[in-house]
Amino acid sequence: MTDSKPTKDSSIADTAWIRTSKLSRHYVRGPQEVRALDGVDLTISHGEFVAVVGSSGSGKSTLLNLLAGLDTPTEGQIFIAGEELNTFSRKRLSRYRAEQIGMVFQSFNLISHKTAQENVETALYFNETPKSERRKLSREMLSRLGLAERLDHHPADLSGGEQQRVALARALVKNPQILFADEPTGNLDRENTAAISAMLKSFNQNGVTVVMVTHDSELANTCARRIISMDYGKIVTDVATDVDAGGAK
Amino acid sequence: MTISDLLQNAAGNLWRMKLRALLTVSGVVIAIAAFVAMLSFGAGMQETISDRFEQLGLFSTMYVYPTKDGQVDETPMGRRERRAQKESDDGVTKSDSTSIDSEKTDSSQVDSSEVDSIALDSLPTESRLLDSAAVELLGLIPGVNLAYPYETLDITVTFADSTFESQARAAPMLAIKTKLFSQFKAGKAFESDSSQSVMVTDRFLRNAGIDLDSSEIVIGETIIVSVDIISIDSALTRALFNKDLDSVKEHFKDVHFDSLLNSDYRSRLISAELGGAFSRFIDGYLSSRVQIAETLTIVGVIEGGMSGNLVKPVVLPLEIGKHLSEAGFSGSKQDLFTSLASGRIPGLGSSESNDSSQQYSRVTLDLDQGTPYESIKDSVEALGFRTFSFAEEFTELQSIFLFFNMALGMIGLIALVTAGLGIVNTMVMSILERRREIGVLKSLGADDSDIKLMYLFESGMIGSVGALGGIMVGWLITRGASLIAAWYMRSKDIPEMEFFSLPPWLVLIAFGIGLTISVLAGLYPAARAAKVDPVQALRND
Repeated sequence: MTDSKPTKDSSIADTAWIRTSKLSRHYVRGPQEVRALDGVDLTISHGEFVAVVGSSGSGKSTLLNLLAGLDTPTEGQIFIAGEELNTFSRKRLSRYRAEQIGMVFQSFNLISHKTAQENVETALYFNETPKSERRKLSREMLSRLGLAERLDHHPADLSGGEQQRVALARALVKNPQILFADEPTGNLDRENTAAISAMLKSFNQNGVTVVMVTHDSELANTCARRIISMDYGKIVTDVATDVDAGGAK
Repeated sequence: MTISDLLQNAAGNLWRMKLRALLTVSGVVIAIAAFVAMLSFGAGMQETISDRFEQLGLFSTMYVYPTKDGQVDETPMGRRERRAQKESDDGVTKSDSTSIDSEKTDSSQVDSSEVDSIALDSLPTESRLLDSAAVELLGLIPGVNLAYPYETLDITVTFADSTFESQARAAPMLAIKTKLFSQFKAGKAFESDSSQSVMVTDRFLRNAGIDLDSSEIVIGETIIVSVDIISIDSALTRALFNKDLDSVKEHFKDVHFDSLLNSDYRSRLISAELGGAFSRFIDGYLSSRVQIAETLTIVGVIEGGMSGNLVKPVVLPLEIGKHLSEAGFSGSKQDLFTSLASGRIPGLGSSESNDSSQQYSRVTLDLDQGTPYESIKDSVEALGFRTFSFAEEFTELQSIFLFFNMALGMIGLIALVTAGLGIVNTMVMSILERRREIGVLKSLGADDSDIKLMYLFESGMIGSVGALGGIMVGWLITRGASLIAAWYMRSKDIPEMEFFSLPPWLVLIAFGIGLTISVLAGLYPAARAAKVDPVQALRND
């Protein structure tokens, strides 16, 4: 892993790496307006491991998509390392996704016709990593996640746990500052859940800020140093756990 | 994403949907093949004609025709010129109407600059006859290598055991050295203007029933060339006394001499007698023929060009031709009108029967290829003559070919548009199937322009592969058609010619159009792909 990207303001980086102000996202479904996210104020510091928990429809995935720049807020502001995400141009937003963040999804979202290694390499297409470097980095990352023997396997030939590890490798191979994980263990068994959570904690210890959305309160309690509960688009509770910075409970 | 990534990605995606890609590419292949085959036909025809023109030296050949005061030139170039004149007429005539008396012009003393000056400033457009002095003057125009009369004769040929009607052309030795007469199939040119030898063309061989591939066998053979000429004396004799004395007596037996004092009767009788005499004169003029013959040795066989119509089947040395043509009036309409135009009664001879008074219906100019034909044409026309230039005709022909090619191209383009719709369909289907992939790529940092480029590269690759395949298939079609045409022409004993050509510009245009249409076809799917909402695409359904 290379060093984290330089921040615009190191003091901000230390205190408010991610900050939202009155963040709202409303959808219009027929005659009704759905307030998926409703005036959320949130601050996440650099290197934090935050779990966002809540029931289905509570707005946690919407929050994640907004923070990842995949969705646009109806109201409010998002600041990433001091820069307001809403003011980013389309290109700058793409570069933000390509260089500063990594994403992991519940359903892995691997590209089925590409091998594990090609899937991981795809993440490096958009941040101007030289082609020769891509292969090397993707091999290294997959090996680090225990998939050295699975480089040329297609997703269909991999188990759920292996697929999620490939997805994790894809998210982390570009050395992002922030990892957004949306139910990363939602489709995994207990054993694989433990493995993935260990990996997430490991990367967090290496300086990656992790924001994980999960249903699994046990997982949240074992990994995250802070748990944010959401309901009806609002933050209900925001509590620190007894997980220390080293990841041990 | 680099271009290499985009190409690799496009190839990978097309490879995954092999059958669909193959069908879409097939559409492009068929369209481009049709486009190539059709334009290849136009290009082939143009190239063949251009090559033949070049080979026969036609780009450096110009014909000059006489003009007569008040006559409307109904030749193609005359009509064209009138049209152009009408379009650009600003009330100023090209030159004044002062006529130059060719008989008074000592052409031997006229140098090139004088000819230019005369041509541009003082010579008339209204009336010029092509006599020997004019031929000499034409030869002095800058850019004219050689000027010589174009004289043709209707002849009867006796060769081997057969006798047939044909046509001959007399040409001077200098002309024989030009490209027009230098396409030898066998033998060589005759050695002097007066040698008792002759050159024949492939058309002559066909008329004589000789296989074109056996041209050599006629070299050294003897032919008898004869012309039927009309004797004016026989016509006059017949006009006055076409019957014996008894018949004349019988003819006048019905005349009532005592009624000759009656003016009405006298008028009627004189009219009847004059009418009868004129009728007998014409009858005698056209019927009283004498045959003049020359026995000549065939020394060379040349190509007649343009299906044998450019060079007459028999080419005679100049003096032999003169001997035959000056022996009397051949009876041909062309000779009749040429002679009448110059104020002579054909066959009667001229009061000034020296060589300089000889009138020609046409003069051939051999041009220096470095000089633009337009300047020579202007100089010749300023001398008061009409011109016909193959180079000018070819320029016209090229514009016709342009329209022809455009028409063929349009047909090909219609097929290409259809193929383009096939590409749109394939790409749209691909977007529907790959929405999640597009969402993933966006989450990984792909910009809308990256997504657009990915789809444009895919459609471009369909077009490129289809265009390359289409060019190859089109070429194969033209080769097949060419072989069939060659076989047909051989079977019909028609000189073979190439109908198709695939010049580099056509390959580039076909490829360019294939690529352009496919990229254009990819624009809509690419824009649609770029608009895919990643949140929707990545939703866990």
